[in-house]
Amino acid sequence: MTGLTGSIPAASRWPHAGARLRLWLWLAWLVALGLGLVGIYQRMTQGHLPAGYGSYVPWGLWVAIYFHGVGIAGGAFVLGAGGFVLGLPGFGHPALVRTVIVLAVAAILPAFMGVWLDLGHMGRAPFIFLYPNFTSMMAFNAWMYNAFLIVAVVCWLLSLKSRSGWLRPLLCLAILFSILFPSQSGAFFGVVEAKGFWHSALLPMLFLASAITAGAATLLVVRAIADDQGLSRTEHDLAVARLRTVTLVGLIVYFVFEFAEFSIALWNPNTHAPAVELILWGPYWWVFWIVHLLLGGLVPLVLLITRRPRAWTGAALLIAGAFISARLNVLVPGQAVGEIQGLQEAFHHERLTYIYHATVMEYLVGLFLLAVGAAVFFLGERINRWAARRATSFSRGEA
Amino acid sequence: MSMDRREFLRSGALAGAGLAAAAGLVVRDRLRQEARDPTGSETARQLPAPPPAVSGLAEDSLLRMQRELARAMAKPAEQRRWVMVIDQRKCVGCHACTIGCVAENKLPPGVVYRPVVTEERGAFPNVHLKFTPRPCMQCERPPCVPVCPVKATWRRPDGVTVVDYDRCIGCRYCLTACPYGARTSDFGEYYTDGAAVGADGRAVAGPRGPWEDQANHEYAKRWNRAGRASPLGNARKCHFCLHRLEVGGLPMCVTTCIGRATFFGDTNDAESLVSELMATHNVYTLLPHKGTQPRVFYVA
Amino acid sequence: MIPRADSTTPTRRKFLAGGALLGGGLLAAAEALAAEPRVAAGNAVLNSRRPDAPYDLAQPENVIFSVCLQCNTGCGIKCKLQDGIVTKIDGNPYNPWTLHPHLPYATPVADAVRVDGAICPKGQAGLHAAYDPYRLRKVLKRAGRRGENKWVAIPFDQAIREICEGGKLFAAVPGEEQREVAGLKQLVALTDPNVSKAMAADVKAIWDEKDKARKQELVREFKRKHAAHLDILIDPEHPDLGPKNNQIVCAWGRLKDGRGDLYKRFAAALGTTNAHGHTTVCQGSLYFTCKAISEQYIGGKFTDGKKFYWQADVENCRFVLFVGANLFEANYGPPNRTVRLTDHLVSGYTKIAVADPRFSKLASKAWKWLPLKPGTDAALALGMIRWILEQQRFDARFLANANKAAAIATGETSWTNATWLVVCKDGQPTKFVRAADVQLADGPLAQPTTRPTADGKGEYVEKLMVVMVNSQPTAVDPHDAQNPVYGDLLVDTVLPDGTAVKSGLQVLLDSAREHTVAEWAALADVREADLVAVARELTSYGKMAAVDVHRGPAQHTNGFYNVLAWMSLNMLLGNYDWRGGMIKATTFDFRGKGKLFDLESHPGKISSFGISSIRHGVDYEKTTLFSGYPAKRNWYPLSSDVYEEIIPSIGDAYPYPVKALFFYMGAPTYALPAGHTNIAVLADVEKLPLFVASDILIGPTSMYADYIFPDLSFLERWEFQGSHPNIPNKVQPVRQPVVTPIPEDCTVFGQQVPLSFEALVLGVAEYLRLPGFGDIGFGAGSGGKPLPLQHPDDLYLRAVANLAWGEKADGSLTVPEADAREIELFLAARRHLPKTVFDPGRWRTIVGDELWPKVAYVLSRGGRFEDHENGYKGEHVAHPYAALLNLYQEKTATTIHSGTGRPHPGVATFIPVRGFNGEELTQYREGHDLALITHRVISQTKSRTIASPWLSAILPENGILIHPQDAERLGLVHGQNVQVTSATNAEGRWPLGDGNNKPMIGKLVVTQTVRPGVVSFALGFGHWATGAHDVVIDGHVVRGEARRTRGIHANAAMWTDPTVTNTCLFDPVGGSVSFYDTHVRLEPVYG
Ligand SMILES: Nc1nc2c(c(=O)[nH]1)N[C@H]1C(S)=C(S)[C@@H](COP(=O)(O)OP(=O)(O)OC[C@H]3O[C@@H](n4cnc5c(=O)[nH]c(N)nc54)[C@H](O)[C@@H]3O)O[C@H]1N2
Ligand SMILES: Nc1nc2c(c(=O)[nH]1)N[C@H]1C(S)=C(S)[C@@H](COP(=O)(O)OP(=O)(O)OC[C@H]3O[C@@H](n4cnc5c(=O)[nH]c(N)nc54)[C@H](O)[C@@H]3O)O[C@H]1N2
Ligand code: SF4
Ligand code: SF4
Ligand code: SF4
Ligand code: SF4
Ligand code: SF4
Ligand SMILES: [Mo]
Repeated sequence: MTGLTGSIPAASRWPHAGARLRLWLWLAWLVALGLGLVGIYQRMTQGHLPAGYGSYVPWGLWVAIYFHGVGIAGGAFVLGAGGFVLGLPGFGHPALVRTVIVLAVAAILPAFMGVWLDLGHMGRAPFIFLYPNFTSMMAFNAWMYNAFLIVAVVCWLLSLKSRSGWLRPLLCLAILFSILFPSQSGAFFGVVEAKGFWHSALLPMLFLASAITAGAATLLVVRAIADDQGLSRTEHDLAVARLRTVTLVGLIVYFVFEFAEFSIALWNPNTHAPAVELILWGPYWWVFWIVHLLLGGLVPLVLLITRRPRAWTGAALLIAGAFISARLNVLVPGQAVGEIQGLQEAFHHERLTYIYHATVMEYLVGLFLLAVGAAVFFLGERINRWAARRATSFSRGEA
Repeated sequence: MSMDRREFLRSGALAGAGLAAAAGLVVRDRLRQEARDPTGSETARQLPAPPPAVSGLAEDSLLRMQRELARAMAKPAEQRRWVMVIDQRKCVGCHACTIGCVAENKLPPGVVYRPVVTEERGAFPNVHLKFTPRPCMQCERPPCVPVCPVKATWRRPDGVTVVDYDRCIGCRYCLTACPYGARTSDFGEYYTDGAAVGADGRAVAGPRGPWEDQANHEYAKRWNRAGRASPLGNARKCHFCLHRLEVGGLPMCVTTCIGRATFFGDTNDAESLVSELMATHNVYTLLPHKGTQPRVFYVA
Repeated sequence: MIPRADSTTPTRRKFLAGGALLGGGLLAAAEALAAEPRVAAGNAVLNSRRPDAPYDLAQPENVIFSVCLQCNTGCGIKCKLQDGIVTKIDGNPYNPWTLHPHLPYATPVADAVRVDGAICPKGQAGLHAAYDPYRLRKVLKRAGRRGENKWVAIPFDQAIREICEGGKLFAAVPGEEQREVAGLKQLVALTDPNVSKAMAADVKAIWDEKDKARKQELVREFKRKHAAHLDILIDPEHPDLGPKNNQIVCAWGRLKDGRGDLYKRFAAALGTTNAHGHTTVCQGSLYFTCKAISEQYIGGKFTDGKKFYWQADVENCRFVLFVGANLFEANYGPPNRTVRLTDHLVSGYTKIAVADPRFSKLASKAWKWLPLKPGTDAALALGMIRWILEQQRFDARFLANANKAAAIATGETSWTNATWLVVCKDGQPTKFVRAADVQLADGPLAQPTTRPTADGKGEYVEKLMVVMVNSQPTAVDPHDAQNPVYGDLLVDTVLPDGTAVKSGLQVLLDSAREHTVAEWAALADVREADLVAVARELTSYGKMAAVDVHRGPAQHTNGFYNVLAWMSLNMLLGNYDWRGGMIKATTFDFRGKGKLFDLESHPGKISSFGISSIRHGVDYEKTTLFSGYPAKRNWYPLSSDVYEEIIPSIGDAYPYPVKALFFYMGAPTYALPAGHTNIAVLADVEKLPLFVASDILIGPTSMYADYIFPDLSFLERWEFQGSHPNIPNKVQPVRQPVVTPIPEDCTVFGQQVPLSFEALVLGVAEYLRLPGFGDIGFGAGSGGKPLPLQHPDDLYLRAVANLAWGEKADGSLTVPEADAREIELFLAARRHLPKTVFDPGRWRTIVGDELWPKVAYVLSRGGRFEDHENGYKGEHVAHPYAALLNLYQEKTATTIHSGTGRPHPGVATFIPVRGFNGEELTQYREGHDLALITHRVISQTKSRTIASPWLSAILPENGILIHPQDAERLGLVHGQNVQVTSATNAEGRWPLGDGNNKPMIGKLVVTQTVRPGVVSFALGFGHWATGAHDVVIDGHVVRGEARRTRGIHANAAMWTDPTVTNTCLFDPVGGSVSFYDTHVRLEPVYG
């Protein structure tokens, strides 16, 4: 494994990245933000009219982004914080915990914004806290994430202290949350008996697996490009290698689960089969075959199997991006099969069909959310560095 | 590197407390899904019965049901047990009920409470057409209710599942939870916005029919969508026309059924037409395996 | 129990105060925010923050009863208003269409408004017709070529002046700079009633003259006699073309009484004989066959046939065979007929069968479906007739009745001529044998007698009919009510004087024996066993079985005989006027002649005369235009309102050129088969110099007009809807203003009225000082107080007053008076209407104080309705037809096909589909092997209802129904686009004029619900006007709505006649257009 170290050229690490690349990143960010703001403007002035979701497919891209975001947050946090609690080499640094926390926040905030924009009455979002209904996985989810955020922020503060007997326990609690919520995101759908494809005990597991995979991948990207706070090469390499392993295993586990789910559905056609067929052969076949399987599965798999860490980063980037397809593939086809045959023909409207196409506005808002996530991460890392400098009783490698 | 004992205990305690709190909240809300609408004598209504039938003549079932309705409304809400019975042998697939409901509740494009599903069966010349009107089933175990994050939807004491538009945040979770597709969301469209664009109102009337700006009366309140106010942005569904029941009117889809295929009434009233129908026909419900226990029954 | 709001509030307040006192303000605030809201003020059904509000639509002062016209069923409606806007339309429970049985008429309004009757989705969408964004508010004048859809809005007075004065009206339109348009002033050439009366009599004499030379002499005589006035004639060589006034044509599509009275008065005042409606596009041959069946033997000849028809009394029938009748989706109509049927269907009391090439929703409730081949109705019917006659399963007792007395004696109300003997020349049945003409050994069978004519003004010679009684020729007086005569049913013999005769029934049997039952079944392509099973069932319920027919059999080139065959079957069942048999419509009179206000009075009226522009009501052979066979176009002695002739005849200037066309509420370009043929004529300013349309928007026909006068929609206007033959009760539903008029106001006879059809008529009448309008429009009146016609109310309110007064001059059949509460509600419900429409003072003055509360009584109930139980008297209907039924039709048998010169048969006969030249259309079928038919869906009515977006939600577009076998054979798949082409429209397009085309492309709907070999499309889609396309008004583009263009309208693929090429195929006898005889090809369209 030692030979791997050298293959991460310093220039590719973000803080040290070349000015050209940095400029490009900034430009890309500005463009994303600008376009995103156009989407936000449309959303604010025209409400949901320019959106493609409707009543038979009530949720679209933004809800997928939400689950993707919280999945990344959960997965990354479990690994990062778990590594810290267990004291794994390359993870044991409180600064790394802070990075993970920032990453989780940067993933959750835009995710929240996504669902918030999805609401019919955005102004009433606080009702979830005023009038919670805990039998609703949605209320539960919202509370969980907020609890997680609070605990994570507390952890972040505690991590600045030289020693705190509460950091690890609280991290454990947060880890519990972050294991719970991705799987509980699965439960979010799993409890919906109305949708045959969702109503599956495997779904929480699938969500957990995809969260861990995407989280590990994102963390891998971050670790590959972000400031390692002067971690030793070896430690760094070990961490990266570990994340690669987790990503790889996660990927395989995920696809094994998915295979199980699909093959059973297809083998013994039941209520799931139409949804699965829709995923495989429907109008969105390319989401499954190209985005999900090829870009999110096969290509990363090949890249991860190679011995070139740069390839791993690429693979991780692909997974982090393409795994949104895993959400879309659960979300959209799950909704796209009606229990009552012929409903679409009984009363006609674009929003009363089982066909969903994300609209330009939705994609633009998606860009905006990405831009927000990037900004939060960037700012968070700045704060982290600033905090690290201020944290006096900081002893590296130990805690 | 690993945690010390104290940390370990603390971790366990925190996680345990977290889990317990979560479990507690879920259990509490599972158990506490009771209706919160008025019950008791204050909900009893003394309504004038419809004009009596001419003696010696069979009367239109609409009049009979309206008379029974007045009887049911004289009881407190919790003693009424509304059901709808749809006789598919009499349904001619005319969609009068669909449009009656759209008009009554001023539903915008894309919102529908009672579509009528048409199925063609058999092969020439042995063909059959089957019509299935699909209002909300007013499930006794409505899966749409527990998923609502803000308790904006619940089952009334008379069994009707309602939505408080002022509470509903428009998350559309309940839409996904209803196996019957009986909930649709109001996305804020208007039927006539795209017509006669460019007309200045001088020679040609111009867009937005005035009927689209009138308030609706769902739940015996006034809802005016102007300025994207509720029910715009909300989940919407059939409510058995509670606002009409209050004044002694049958649900709109019942009164406008040209095949007299839709029946409505109180099964707690053994004399009611619906009780009679339920007893004498082999009624069935849609998607019984979903365990929702619909209060809409079909005769085929 | 949660305590009610008023009791909680103090408690809650106390708690809050206490909380604050205790310093728990924060907690309290949180509680206030987060707590479940307790019951607040007036939360009757939903416990929430929002207070309850009254339900406007349940309040009696927000309700007006009127009549729907979204389709012609005319259901009673209950319009519910909110802030003066109609937002909900339900059924009027007083009206037998929407509640069964309907509420007794005496029910107080306050009670009735609590009941909602049932109506169809189109009816509920009626408010969209009134509030359509494309509604016109000003008069439009053409500013581009016809059909270019460029308009300017002009003032009403200018429009009236221009059409009356004529001149270079379109100088601004390129190409028409020099075109002089003849104004009405010029066209109303004949104004002297005396001249017209004299000329009319002389023309009649010319027509009645059979000798050709003598006819010519009479024409010359005419010219001599009227030398001073020949300039008013269209053509002095043919005085029977009538005056130039006839070059004004007043045409309409959907016209109901009241407005109909006004329009016909207008035409009469203009002195034109040309006032033509749309009956033949509708179910013409059903009307005109029944008219022929109802011709009465009066004054020695067959006359006074009524344009009407019968339908089955579905509320009592035990068995009905529905033929080409689409009850649950169309017909007259879904609400009233469905409610009378469904209960009995599930209880098993009633059983139905359906003969239709298409599996309709009605068929889905039928015991048997007979998917016959289109155009073979008579074959199917004759097969049943043969079987029934041969199995002796007909009502022999009924058919044996040879006169009224026999009918009375056997408990019948009507009787047939089944036993009357018909002279057969060379085996061909001709006229009935007249008793006075039968020479027996001891002289004639009966002595001719001289009797006064029906009007008592003249005399005629009565020769009586002949029947065989126990094989003895016996004279019979058809109207004799005293001496019953029962004739032998099947007679085929030679009278002692050598005349070969057959009884009417025998003639029918012979016709049915042209083929065996199996062969008839094969012709119709239904299983013989099914044919027999249905015939058996039909004859198993006595008089409580019926055959109910509608457009399916009627709208063919052989429509007349298809309908006659089915109606003959009903005669075999003897079910006319019986509870559960065939019944007719009955209405209350509102014209008041001889009772209250005589609204038929028309002082100074000129008797219009001459051949009508559609050549109806006269035998070709009688006219001076007769020039052998084939005639240039068909003549229609037996029918009227021949829609497919109105515009194409103008195109051919046959019988004469037309100078001005008024078109009210019709869209022949869209509605007619091959309707595009009309566009070519309308677009040609040479053929039609002036075209004025009344429309509520720019429609598919009015788009070619020179002027469009905005009209009031059915929710803003008055009409007397009348009834349909399936309603046993006597009724008169009244359509009345409900909605505040959308069009602007204008001034006629010094009074403000909304722009409307009435304003157009009154405006022209005022400008031209037409008789029958103005301050003594209705004449002197009874008390010496002249009755004006200067405002729509002058007609309509008096009509309501007449209706309220009743049909006895002494007022003994009057309605009660509305009480104070009802008057109060009556006024309150109309509080939103402007004075131009509703002015209680004006209304009251017009009808008088005495009638005012009665008028309010009628209007509060949406018309006048007999109570349900009074519709029947024992086993009969209370309003029977009670007259002769012509099983054999002498009058028909003596008319001649003007295309072939052959006489028309007088009995039910199977005639294949033919063109005007009498030839079958085999050459048209080559390469086009799919029979094209058409049908209605519940959600659309012709060119009108596309305005409603609700209805589009039910079915956004129609498609072309095809059986999977055909689709597979042609390699076509469900949902794919195909273009419809035929031998007479190879391009498969609508040529819309001005270079515009609309291809006939529709989606294929592969379904088991059509017969293999047949394709069908629903009416009401594929629009290019009615808001579907952009128009330019005063330079502004008003955008069309894409929704309205969807689907296909394939009428342009329907065949034109092979020799009369500018119109569709038609029924030369009944006048019907052919909707179901075309064969087409479907071409796949890609991209
Ligand atoms: N929804 C709706 N209702 C309407 C109207 C409307 O436009 N829309 N219009 C009203 C008017 S004006 C009218 S006239 C009535 C018409 O009422 P109907 O005549 O009852 O209605 P159509 O749909 O024209 O029915 C014609 C039927 O004849 C069948 N048919 C076609 N060819 C043949 C044939 O050769 N033989 C037989 N036996 N059947 C055949 C068609 O499949 C169709 O079912 O409806 C009235 N009601
Ligand atoms: N393919 C097919 N074609 C058919 C039939 C079919 O079954 N299939 N059925 C036929 C039958 S039964 C009939 S009756 C005919 C009817 O044919 P038409 O009598 O020609 O009538 P509509 O199509 O009703 O056209 C009425 C027109 O009047 C105008 N209009 C609408 N409302 C008003 C109003 O309130 N006032 C005035 N002044 N104008 C108004 C609009 O321009 C509208 O286009 O169609 C026939 N056409
Ligand atoms: S859409 Fe409204 S009613 Fe439905 S779950 Fe969300 S908040 Fe509850
Ligand atoms: S039918 Fe659907 S919306 Fe209605 S109560 Fe049942 S689950 Fe809820
Ligand atoms: S009961 Fe009322 S709300 Fe429900 S479908 Fe019928 S009309 Fe609509
Ligand atoms: S109104 Fe009645 S007959 Fe018509 S579709 Fe609805 S349930 Fe069926
Ligand atoms: S059938 Fe429907 S559209 Fe026709 S008159 Fe009746 S309610 Fe109106
Ligand atoms: Mo018609």
